[in-house]
Amino acid sequence: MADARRVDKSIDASLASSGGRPWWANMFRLSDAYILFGVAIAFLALPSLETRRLVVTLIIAYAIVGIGLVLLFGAGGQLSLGQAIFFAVGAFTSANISRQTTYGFELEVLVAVGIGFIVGVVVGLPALRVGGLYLAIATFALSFTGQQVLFEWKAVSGGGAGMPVGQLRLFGNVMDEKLSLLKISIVLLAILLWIASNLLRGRTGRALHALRTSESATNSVAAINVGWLKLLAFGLSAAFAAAGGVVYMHAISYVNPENFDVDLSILFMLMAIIGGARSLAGAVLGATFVLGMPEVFRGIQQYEGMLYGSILLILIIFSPKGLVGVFTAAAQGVRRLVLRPPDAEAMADLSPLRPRGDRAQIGGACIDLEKVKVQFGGLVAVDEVSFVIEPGQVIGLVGPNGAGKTTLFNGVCGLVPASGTVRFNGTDISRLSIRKRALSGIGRTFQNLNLHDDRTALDHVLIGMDRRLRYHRLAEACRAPWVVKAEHELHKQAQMLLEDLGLGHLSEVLVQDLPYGIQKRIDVARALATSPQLLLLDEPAAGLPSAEANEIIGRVLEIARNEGMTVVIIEHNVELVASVADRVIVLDAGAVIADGTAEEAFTNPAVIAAYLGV
Amino acid sequence: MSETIQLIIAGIENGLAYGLVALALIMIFKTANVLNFAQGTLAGLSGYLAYWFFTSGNFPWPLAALAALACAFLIGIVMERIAVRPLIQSGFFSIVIATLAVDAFATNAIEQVFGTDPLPFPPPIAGAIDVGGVRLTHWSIVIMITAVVVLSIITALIQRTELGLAMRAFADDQTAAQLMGVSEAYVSRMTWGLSTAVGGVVGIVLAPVLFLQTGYMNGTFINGLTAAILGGFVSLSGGVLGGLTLGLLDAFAVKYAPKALVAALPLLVVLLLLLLRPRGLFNRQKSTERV
Repeated sequence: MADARRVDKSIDASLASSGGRPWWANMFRLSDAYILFGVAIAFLALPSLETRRLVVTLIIAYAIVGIGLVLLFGAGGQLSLGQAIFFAVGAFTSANISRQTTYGFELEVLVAVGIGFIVGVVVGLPALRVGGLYLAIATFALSFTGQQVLFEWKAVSGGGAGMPVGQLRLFGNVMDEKLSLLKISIVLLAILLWIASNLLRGRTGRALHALRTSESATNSVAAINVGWLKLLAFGLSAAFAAAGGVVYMHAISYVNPENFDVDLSILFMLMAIIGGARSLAGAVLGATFVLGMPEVFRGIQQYEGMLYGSILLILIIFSPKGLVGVFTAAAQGVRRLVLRPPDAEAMADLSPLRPRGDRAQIGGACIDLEKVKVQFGGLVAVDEVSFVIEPGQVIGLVGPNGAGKTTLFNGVCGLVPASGTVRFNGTDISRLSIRKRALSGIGRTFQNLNLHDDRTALDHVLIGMDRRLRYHRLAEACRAPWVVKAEHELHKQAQMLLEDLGLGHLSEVLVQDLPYGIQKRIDVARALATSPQLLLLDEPAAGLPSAEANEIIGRVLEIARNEGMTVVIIEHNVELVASVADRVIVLDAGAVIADGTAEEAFTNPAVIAAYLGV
Repeated sequence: MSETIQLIIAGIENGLAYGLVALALIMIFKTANVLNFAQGTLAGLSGYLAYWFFTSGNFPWPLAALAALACAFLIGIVMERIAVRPLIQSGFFSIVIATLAVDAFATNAIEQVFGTDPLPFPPPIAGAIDVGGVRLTHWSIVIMITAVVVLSIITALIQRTELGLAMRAFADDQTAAQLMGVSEAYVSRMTWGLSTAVGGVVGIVLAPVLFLQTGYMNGTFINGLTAAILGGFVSLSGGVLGGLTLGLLDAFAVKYAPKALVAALPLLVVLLLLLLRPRGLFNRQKSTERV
């Protein structure tokens, strides 16, 4: 008892030394400093911007649209060719408010953002049913038909003649000074950048990145509702575009449906990609580039399309992360020269598991499969498999290649349609969605890993732990203290889990930079992070040297037993299975051919025949 | 009665044009699994080229059209080489974006060469016939005949020739096709060339109707896309059927629905279809989600 307490203390001590700042210190981030710095520079430079205030204001308007695309496309991986219409929604909303009421900019932005969000969600609705390509088409159709509708809807848009707009007002005061719009826009841009960076750093950003990099893992492991996530992303990007439209409307002070054509939608997309859609800096850079170039080199204005088209082609082939990518690649090159990369090759040092107060007994699930059958066309991959697994058991699922082991996992998780019944702790889950099954307590790993490229090891655990978070997205957007606290707590838990798997020193490394063995371990970590009652491990040790394989499987099972999880492990190494499994189930050609202790199973003549192919 | 027939004929005429665009899009989608967003603009470019051969080159118009189609075929091949081939490894979104880049490039190039003002392109065959109150211009007849001829040529090409066999094999299973010795590069090149030429046919025959101006093919392109979705993006005949359906729907909507609704028709069809029947109306096969 006294011993355990000493260990607990040392955890606290190690946390305090490893950057364990108080949670409120995390309220402030480096990105905030960049934003404040940018605002300060912009205000200092105001006098010199006077002659160019129109183009700078337009850059800001476009940059705001770009922020929306960073969320939707850069993070979420959803292509939209409809941004011009969301932009128009903002412009015409604010034009009508400024003409017909005495409310000012603040209300225009709020209403435009609200309407933009709704329109975005409606246009994104097919996301619930179909994949990326069809969404690109739907938004493209929106871009084209939306403009036609605006032309026809004269009461709102003024039709082909367009319409002049009202005065710029802010909180009831008429702002008729030359630079006032620019000042307001700078502040708006700063606020929106701050909101977007909060979202990108919080669970929304993590979920969007996960969606882009592996939709199936996001759905089946992290149990995130990807349909709603896509809708949210569409709504957000549309809201940002609408806010940009408000700025645009005041900058040119005359709106005409003519200005919001398909080509503008395409230009927004090109702009985001040229700048670098993965980062907010890219949004600002892209807008500055697209609008600044013609300003600096007057002659090129008429060749914009050809110029941007060519630049985009070159960038997308040679630097898919855009201009920002060019800079960061250079910076990374320097950093690699100066700093030694972490020694990932070294065997992770697995010190004994530390007892922990919060390691609650999750308890294992009882699984009952009844005549589970999976069929692809004429091929029966899993043929009426029935068995019951008691809580807390470790089952080895073995069988020759093509026996249907992974397919059985997929059937249980809902990734492939299966007939028959799957009972989880007595409840029939075979009609539930993939996500609901994951939520009920099934965690799994993948044979092909399904990791999230360009994300760190820590991100993988955090996405697995997503369901532990309860905070609202509005609170996340304005970085409420309780959000910061929850995130801090989650990061702490995630880091501990990584340490349990000997990955603590690699938490900030991008997964694609890690060797295969470590990647497999990260896949396992993500599954464990969901605190499953049933853990499905699909060849967690395949391709690893046997010492490493024994070590990793030993550690995972240690954690699993500590928490009482039920484990099913697919593994080809017979010795390994025999040493860890309480019970072995052998599949061949989709059917169970043996079920019992390791010794019984591996001496069963049918099993030997199946393996030797006689 | 004659009014209804008139509407039906107009619907079929437009529908065939939409169907051809859909066919061009589906050809690319089935072999390369991407969408060519430059299809509409490149079709427009063919119209401009035909105009140029016709007026500046003094070609007789059938020859001007053929010359423009040959150019379209080459443009498709060049596009495949520059914008598609280098990106095959980087996945489908990269290629889609590359086609957008080509679209921006081509739109701008057309503006620079031909100007932004509408160019009149009088139908090479003027006049109309009148059958029982139904008026049918000679050019409409040309459009419909051309569309049917092109459809038959493409169908024959795909069903009867070795290239068609290779394309079908490729659409069915890329890896298997490659293992059987079908050259991926050749099939891909020919598909992009052919698809651009098919789109070009539409751009040329519609030029006298729509006038040559920036983006004059955009509307037809959107409707072609919608037609492809109606057909479920899997079979060429589905795309043509989708085109005809949409053409008829459009013709009657123009007559009986408010203007704003007509403008929004393709969008509404796309949204409803994607929500209710994502696999298309004319697609009985249980297609696997390929995106």
